[in-house]
Amino acid sequence: MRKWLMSRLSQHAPTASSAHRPTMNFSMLELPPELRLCIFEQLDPHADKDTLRAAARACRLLQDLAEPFLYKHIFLRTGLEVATLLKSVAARPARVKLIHTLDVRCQWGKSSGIERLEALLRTAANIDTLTIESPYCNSGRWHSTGGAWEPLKRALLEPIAAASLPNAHPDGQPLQNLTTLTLHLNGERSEFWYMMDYQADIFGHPTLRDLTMSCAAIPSLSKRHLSKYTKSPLKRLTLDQCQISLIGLAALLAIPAALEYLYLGEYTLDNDEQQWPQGEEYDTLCHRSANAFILALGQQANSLTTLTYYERFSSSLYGGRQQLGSGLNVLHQLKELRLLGDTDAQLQTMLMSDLTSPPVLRALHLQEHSLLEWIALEVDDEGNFLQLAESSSLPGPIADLLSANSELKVLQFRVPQLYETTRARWSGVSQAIASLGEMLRERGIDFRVHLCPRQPRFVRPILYGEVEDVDELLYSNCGEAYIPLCGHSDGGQLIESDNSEYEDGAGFDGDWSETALEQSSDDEE
Amino acid sequence: MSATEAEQQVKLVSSDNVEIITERKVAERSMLIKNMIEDLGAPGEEPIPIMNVSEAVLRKVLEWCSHHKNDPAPTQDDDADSRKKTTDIEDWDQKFMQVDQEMLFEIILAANYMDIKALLDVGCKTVANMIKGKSPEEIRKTFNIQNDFTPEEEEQIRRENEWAEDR
Repeated sequence: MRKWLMSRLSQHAPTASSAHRPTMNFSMLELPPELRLCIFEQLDPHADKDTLRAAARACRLLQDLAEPFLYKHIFLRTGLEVATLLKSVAARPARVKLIHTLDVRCQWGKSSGIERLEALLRTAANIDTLTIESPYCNSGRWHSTGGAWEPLKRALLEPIAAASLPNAHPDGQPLQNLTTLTLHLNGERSEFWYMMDYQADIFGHPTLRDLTMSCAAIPSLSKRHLSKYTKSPLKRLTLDQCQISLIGLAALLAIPAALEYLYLGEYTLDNDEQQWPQGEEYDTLCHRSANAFILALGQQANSLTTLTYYERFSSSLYGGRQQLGSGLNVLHQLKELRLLGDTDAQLQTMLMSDLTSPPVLRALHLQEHSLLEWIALEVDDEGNFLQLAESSSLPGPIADLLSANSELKVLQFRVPQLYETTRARWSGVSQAIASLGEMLRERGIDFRVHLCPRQPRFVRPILYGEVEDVDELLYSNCGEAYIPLCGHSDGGQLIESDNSEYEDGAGFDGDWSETALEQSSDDEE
Repeated sequence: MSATEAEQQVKLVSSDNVEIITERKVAERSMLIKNMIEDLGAPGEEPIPIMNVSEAVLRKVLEWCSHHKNDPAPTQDDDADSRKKTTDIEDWDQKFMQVDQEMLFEIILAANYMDIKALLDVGCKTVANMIKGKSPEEIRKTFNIQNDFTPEEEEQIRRENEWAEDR
């Protein structure tokens, strides 16, 4: 037994440390390499940058230890920084292999020279995360005509597109480890950047798993051009504030082998944007053709589990109804669905029947207008909401929704605007929401109502230096007790709003709700 | 492991052949020892040799294990995260690590060999904190490192890594 134990123990002993016999001057450098690495892993590549730079100058061994952390995440804003980086890579070409994240956020007025990164992109084999942001989109100069961005954009995009071509590069070639790509490329002359066929090659990149694009105009891409890509590994696709054509969407969604996450955000900011090229029809896709829209999505039916569709407002949104070929039921793996913006009525109707609703849907997030409809409220002559259904039974549409979606566990609403609702009217809404929440809780459904910021500081896309405003939780039925609502009110109460305060121009400063609650009880007396 | 098992005594033998008896629960902070006891069964009968760890270091390591014997086992998830986040070390561990450098590196080696992940992390964080905020010369002094750069080379590396200057 003992002999066996001894041999087992010696197997465990790392060779470097077993060979080591401590001396008086035992130093960090005598630790086995994996332990020296372990020490440097404790340093933060961002916060401890100075320390890493100092360590790199202490001795050769520490240089080799520190530089992989220094070069792992590279963040650049100016042409000057690019020049210094290129110089240091030229001095020690091995450094280019150390780069894993490249975050290029071009700074307005200082971006000249950034195009030289093209050389780096054409040699960097190990970049896995790449972000490119135009100097225009983040500087409030959305229509500037500098003329500098177009060549810069081409210089940065072409290496990515080239790396996407099938069989173009064997292993170890540039950008063949790219997994996450974010592109904010708009701003020069237009609020959009128009995607050319060759740029759409990016969707077919052989290792890319997560792609985010903002403010792209995706025209009717050539299906023939893209047909060479059949099974790209893309799992997550975010199209944020994009102008999308139905043909373009269908062409792009044909490329991934198994897309799991899709954020489809139409352009919601400005209705006057020129449609280019002539004759392209962008956005309000479901309204244009629900059939074609569902067919396009249906290409990913075997894998798509999460879908967000942010629909642009269309003045004729509630116009004629189309004859439907199939419903959302084709999305037979879909577990989470967010319908934001001005959701087409047809999509909502599909959710009300088990024949047209996604069969395994677990979470549904919707905008406010359907909430009022669905909690069965009617406006009386004085503008008050009246509850139609008995408060002891589920309102019809909600009952339909639950019977059509037996797996549903989460139901959330976003309330974008309250300022059209007077306090007295909102009080009726709040009671209806609370009683609905109670009924849903008994059925094991997590029910929440969120309030979007009335005057968000930043609109999507969220760019460098921006933080997205978070929706405020208005009501929740989760858990044993209700979640206190941002400290404004007692648990279980819905925060009530006061119309007059909105008109005064006051935002949600944290006090209005309490004031509103007090005033509301005064009114009742 | 039942309560009686936890209180069982196990016998460890250091590299310099000193027997140390300790609680099984304390010793099993070391995954090396834990796995061996599980494989062998009947702990306490056979002394367990800890071949690369001298008596002084083994006693120090067991002191740490004894203080942390009731810590919850780390999950796989927070493992990767927590390591990156912080070089914060709890007070007791900080005091524990106030030893000369030789002992500090011996503890790190022993923690690695005996497979005590949390102790290895504390040790590495302690060394990382000793590097933090120091100039190249101070780092060399602290760790008794020979400068193998010429002044020109050192200056060149400084310039090459300038792009990483904090903004």
